[in-house]
Amino acid sequence: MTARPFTSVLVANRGEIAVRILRTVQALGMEGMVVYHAADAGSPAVRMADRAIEIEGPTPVAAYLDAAQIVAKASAAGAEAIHPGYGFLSENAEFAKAVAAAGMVFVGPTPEAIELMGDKVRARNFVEARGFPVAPSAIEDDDPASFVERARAVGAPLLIKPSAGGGGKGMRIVRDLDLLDEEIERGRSEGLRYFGDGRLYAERYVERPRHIEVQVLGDAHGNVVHLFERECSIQRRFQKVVEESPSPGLTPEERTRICEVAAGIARAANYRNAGTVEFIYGAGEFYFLEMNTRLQVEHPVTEEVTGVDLVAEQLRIAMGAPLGYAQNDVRIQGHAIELRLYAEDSARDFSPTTGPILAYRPPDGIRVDSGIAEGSAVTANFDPMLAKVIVHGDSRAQAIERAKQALADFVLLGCKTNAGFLHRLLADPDFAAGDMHTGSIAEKPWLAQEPELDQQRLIELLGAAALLLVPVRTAADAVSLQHAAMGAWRN
Amino acid sequence: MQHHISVNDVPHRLWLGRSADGYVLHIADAVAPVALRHDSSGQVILEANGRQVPMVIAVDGDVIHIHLDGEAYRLAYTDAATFHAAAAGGAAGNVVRAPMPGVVIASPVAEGDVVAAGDTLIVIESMKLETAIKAPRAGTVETVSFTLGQTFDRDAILVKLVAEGE
Repeated sequence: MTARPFTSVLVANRGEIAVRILRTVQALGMEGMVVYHAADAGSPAVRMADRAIEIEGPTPVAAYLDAAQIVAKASAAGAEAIHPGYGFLSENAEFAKAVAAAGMVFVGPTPEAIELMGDKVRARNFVEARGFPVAPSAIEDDDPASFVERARAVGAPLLIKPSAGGGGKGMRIVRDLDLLDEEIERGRSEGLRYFGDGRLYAERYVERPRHIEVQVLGDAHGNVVHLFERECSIQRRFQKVVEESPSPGLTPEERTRICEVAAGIARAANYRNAGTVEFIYGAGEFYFLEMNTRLQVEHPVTEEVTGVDLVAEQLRIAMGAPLGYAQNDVRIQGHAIELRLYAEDSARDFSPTTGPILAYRPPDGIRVDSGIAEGSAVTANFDPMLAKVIVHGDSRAQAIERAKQALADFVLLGCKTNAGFLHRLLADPDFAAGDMHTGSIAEKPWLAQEPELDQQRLIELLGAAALLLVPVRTAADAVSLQHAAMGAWRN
Repeated sequence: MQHHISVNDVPHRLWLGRSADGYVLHIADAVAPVALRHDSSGQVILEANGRQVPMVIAVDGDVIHIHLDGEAYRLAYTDAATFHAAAAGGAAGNVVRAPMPGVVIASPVAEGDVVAAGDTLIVIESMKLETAIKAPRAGTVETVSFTLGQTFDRDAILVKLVAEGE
């Protein structure tokens, strides 16, 4: 697909990322358009856009996934380029092709790159064939007779999975290779039971793994740079909650290696635009997991430490401009942390919450990427992420302190959020030490629980509520002052 | 007179009295003079036991939301009649409520259907999690409140049952 200049960009997305993209589009002097479903009428993105175009669908999510409708309406509105944001249509090769076929520029990678990286098995084989590290593995189907020996050769700890599997069913961790035959038999019988298929797959198991990903940028002229890594190990239910850059878990040598591998993979894939190469890291080893062919939710931490506006770079690249800088020109300064504020109840297994946004006051002087406003409501229609709080400090310790303060100053009333959980996480000594892995939150269930309130706090809260609740106040006022004076010993 | 107010879903009992100086809060075995005022900048200040506590407050009917010391709290008032009805259990098991907000993705039963305990009444999806809501006991479906694709909030009544013979 051809890269060429444009002067208007339609954002095929909603919420905070639509606001984030429009901010850069407008700062660059271009016309910013957005599509929206009626459920988002009046949202900050719609109010901010130079033009907002309504889309329809059986559900709000279906409207944002309706590629044909979005392309037709964008084209009719005269949009010259479409930015897909993240989620929805961002990694849909057919959408990227349809945008180009309609004569618009897709702000993202080529459809070929989306297809390659979208197929996890193809992507893994592509990366392995070019000599980059993937988790050592043995696939039974390759040669069933030698499977046990090949699995043994991978070495412990080993993860055995049913080939047909998913959702963790039938997975077995083997730490002692003497038990390998036995565990393979059990895995096979579980695979048969759950999936009607006993074929197995074995790969190196990483104990206490960290999720580390590397931001890359490639232009239409074959230039590729990385913008260093992000640590995204703090996750609940396989979703990221806190991200930071740089990772506190890498030595400088490891950082150089992992970032160079990521740039090498992007170069091998002839990758254009912004992308993220994800790795699993543990005990000094790292393996390719997958490549995300889009802007990531957590891209702001990279922007804060590198000073690069990633959306501006995406637009420049889509216009055909060369990167214009070399790897050595990309530097990181200080430390950045992003906290994802979710509408959820950590004490109820992080289940989503809904409610009106009655008060919304983001902290002063802090970057908050948000798509909500006072007077709007959080519904079950969309993803529960409300806002991202992004802080930068000279050191990680300073960034953590700023994150704590920003969170404390952030007023959001009406819908329960994970703010209390984030407070407890930021105060956790292991987090402060940078000692974390993707199972950390599950290992620390107390972080999800709300502490019991002490009496003084209860007096403050109940006192304010009692004074504001009409029936309570009315009952108090109904008692004559003479009786009231005796109240303390009357009950 | 006792009032029931929950703080983040934990129930508390209190009453508000008056003294010559203002209002007095009584909870459990504690008694504290309390007052609300605005300072010159418009900030809401609660005075309790002589301490000055800045707050941000949003009132939504019988629910009071308070931001205090960097944390948000939800306080909900329950009138005595509702409180005692809930405590007595009422017609337990007749009303099936949503455990979390979500959207209906399958609706296998209709009004008038006879169901056994454990039968799936409705399947909901909430942020990529699919949950089958089962009948807490045998009975006849009286109402199914939501149709396919509709969204609902936590605690919304999804299905009502009537027991045989009721």
